[in-house]
Amino acid sequence: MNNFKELEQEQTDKFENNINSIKTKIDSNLGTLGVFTQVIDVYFSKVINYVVSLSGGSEEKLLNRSNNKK
Amino acid sequence: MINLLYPMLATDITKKVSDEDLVSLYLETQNVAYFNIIYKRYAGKIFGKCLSLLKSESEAEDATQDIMMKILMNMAKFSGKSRFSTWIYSITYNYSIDYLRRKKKDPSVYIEDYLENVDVEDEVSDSFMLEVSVARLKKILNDIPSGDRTILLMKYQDEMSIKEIGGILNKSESAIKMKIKRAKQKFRKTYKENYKEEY
Repeated sequence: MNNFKELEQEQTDKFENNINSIKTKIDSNLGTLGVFTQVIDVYFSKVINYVVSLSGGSEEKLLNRSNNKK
Repeated sequence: MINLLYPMLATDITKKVSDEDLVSLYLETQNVAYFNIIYKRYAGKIFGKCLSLLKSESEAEDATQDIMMKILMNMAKFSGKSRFSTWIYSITYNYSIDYLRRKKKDPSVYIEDYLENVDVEDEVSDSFMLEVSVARLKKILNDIPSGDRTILLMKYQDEMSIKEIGGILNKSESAIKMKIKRAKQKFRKTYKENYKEEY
């Protein structure tokens, strides 16, 4: 291990607390992102159907069409 | 393969699986446990580089967080043409250089080739660079301009090839060789100024 790598290792050991606190923040970001994705997953198709029915289209037809495709 | 590896997560997968395999496993399963191993391997190194370049603990923390999120979100873009570590460090260096440019903290980062009289014939040996003690290395790296510090870290800490450095900094190989030469001279000059009595 050369002196540059030793310096890198020294910094990694010295700032372990900072690295742990960054991980906590990332986990919290990922949690928020996950919830947001789930909300989109669950409600987005419903919003689309609602918009379609508002504009005069039939929600049932839309559902049948997507079921037939599957 | 995943089923075989998954139980190992509880034991000691961290040393057994290559970075590239971890990326593939993460992309296949979207299991954060694989990202956590990558985080454990690289967060300290990324933080150290950000701290060396940005010189502020809080800025280095924010930068590391942003960089790790970038890595996570762009994992699918890793093509495998380079080493995974090189890919991660290129994100780290580019982020830090952009950050310094935006803050205009250190002009040498964004001025193409800063004008300075350096003797291009006067080569500083690698052995000189590698024999400096860690405490002194830390001091000298802190005192030289960010542009020089960046290129020295790439060469001696990350052991990147001239071609890899050129790819990250978007410069030709001959330009990188010249930059390394200048950075080493700057390093030696600063060393002499700090430790006159021994030189």
